[in-house]
Amino acid sequence: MRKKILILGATGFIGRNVAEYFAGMQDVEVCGTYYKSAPLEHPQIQMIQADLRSSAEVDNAIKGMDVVIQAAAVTSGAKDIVTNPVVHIADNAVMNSLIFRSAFDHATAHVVFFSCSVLYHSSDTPLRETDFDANREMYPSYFGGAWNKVYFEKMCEFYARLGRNKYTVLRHSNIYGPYDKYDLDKSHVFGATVTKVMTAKEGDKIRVWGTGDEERDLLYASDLTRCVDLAISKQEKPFALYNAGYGRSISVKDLVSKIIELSGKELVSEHDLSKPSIRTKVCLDCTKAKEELGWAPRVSLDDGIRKTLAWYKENMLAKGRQL
Amino acid sequence: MNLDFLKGKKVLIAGGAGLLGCSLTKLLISHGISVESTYFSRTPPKGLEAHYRQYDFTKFEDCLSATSGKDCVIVFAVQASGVSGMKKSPTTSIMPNLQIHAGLLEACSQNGVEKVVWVSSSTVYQEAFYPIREDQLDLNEPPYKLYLGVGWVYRYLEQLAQCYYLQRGLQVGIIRTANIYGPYDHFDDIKSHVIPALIKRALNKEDPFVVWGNGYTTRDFIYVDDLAVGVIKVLDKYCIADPINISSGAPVNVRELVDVILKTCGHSTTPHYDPTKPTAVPYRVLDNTKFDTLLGKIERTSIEEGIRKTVEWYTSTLSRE
Repeated sequence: MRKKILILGATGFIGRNVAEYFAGMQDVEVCGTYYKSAPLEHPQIQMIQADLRSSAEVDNAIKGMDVVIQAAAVTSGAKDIVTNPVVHIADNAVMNSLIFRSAFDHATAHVVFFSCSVLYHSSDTPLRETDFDANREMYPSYFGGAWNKVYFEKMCEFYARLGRNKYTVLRHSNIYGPYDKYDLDKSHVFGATVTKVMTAKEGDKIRVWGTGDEERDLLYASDLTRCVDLAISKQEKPFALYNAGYGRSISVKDLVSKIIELSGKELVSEHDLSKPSIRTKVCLDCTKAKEELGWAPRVSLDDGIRKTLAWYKENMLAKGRQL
Repeated sequence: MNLDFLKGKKVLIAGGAGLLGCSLTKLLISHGISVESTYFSRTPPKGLEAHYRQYDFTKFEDCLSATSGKDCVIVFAVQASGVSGMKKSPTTSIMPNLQIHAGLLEACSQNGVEKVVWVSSSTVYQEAFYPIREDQLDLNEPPYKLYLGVGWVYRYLEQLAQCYYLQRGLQVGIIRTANIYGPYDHFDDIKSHVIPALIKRALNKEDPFVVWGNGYTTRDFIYVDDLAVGVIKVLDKYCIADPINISSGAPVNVRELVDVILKTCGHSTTPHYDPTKPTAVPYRVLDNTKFDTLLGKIERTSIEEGIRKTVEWYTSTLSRE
């Protein structure tokens, strides 16, 4: 029998990458939810419209699924986080709680939840899963979002202990690649820079928010989807949590220079020190995922940037549209 | 007690039909404060119906309409069910608690409510065998196993309240309380808590009188009217999203409690303890130093007097029926 996989939030950046990854496979039937965005038009993905803040609609989507991958969220980039920090926090809390309860009620065999590196504190050395310290103050701008992730991880663990189904949490770092948000109002640093670089004219200046000293661990989207695949096939425990990151960090200013260089354009970067930036250094130690799932990133940062730029050229510039 | 700070203010008591809600509603009405209390599945207390309105706070529209135009909002935890309820169905209290409290915080913030007191729960604490202080909460340790799910809901909600305080400027007080008892407790509920359940059985002269557990489970029972005074003090002076314990501070074990109840109810029997039956966390007592130092000690009702008042109230409602 073919395994039924549901991707919640399949029109979002991560959701779409995951959905398309599984859509090509023989032994799986792929379903995805959408809400306000246009549904994916893919012959091997069955799209279900659902407002995931509604208990009935969550149940309707989850019923009968073997695997549920929770990639739905209302997210914002640094600009939104700083100007309106509480936006969507409570909404996301309710939505995820409904999803976990529904997966438990319907005995969904495996739930995969995306947590993220936002809950780690800044560190000069790579962070292991056990380095998370719930007693330490969170970085103020991330406070709400980070506590949401902590809470969702704990809910997965709580339901897992009841012994009905299996939960895997992937704490991923900053993901980049096709279908990222490239709209400057909503995008994170990577997507914003790609858009600025690709739409700039020769000789333009690329503005970087803040000093650009903060360091990020950047993982190419296909490496994350491969990690999901390995978790589904190899993760046997009721509850397991893994870091999924590149394992190395790069400062935002170096990243901007690298994107400019790989674009082949003649551009210079300048810093806008009046703009917010979140000054942390985060880099994930992914030894656990390597040992237990046999996972390690395969796409180097340079290759990932090249692939992303090529994808952007073909899908965004050539078609002249915003995804 | 000084309630002048509430003169001319409109107060909402969300979850007003529980015992703490009833106690506070009566207290505020007796001081001439404008109160609206809410109920959902439970009926409002007799004689106070005029002050009650029905809302379903799992619906965000109801959160918005109830808090609209209010100056102060007091929100009570949806009480976790008793031990057997938690064992049988550990997931049922997760969703309503989360939805109701997240919805009310957001609604208070949107409606510009001046002050909020939110009553959290001692289920946030890890297991400890001493009266625990607020700052001894260790978030790297799980809540007691029976309360793992709901404990994390409350841990999260405390952080959420802090988030609204820090980032939206919502003045919110956070109270961690222990086991509440007193008049208006729900004696007929199958989920009923230990004190009403024991009182009912003692009044029925149940014999043999079997009590679950070995009897050495230690609790910190607070008489509801004492807690109501504490809530008002926090509302007046401590809405800074910093959790503060309010309990009796006097540990009582189940054997001592059973003796007081049997004596008060005039039931002379020897209780039989059944250690094979499940009990909750073996020891849960809160340290009240922070409250007493910052807001002034409340005179607390002794367990003997509190039980006597509770039994009197219960028997008077029985005779009315």
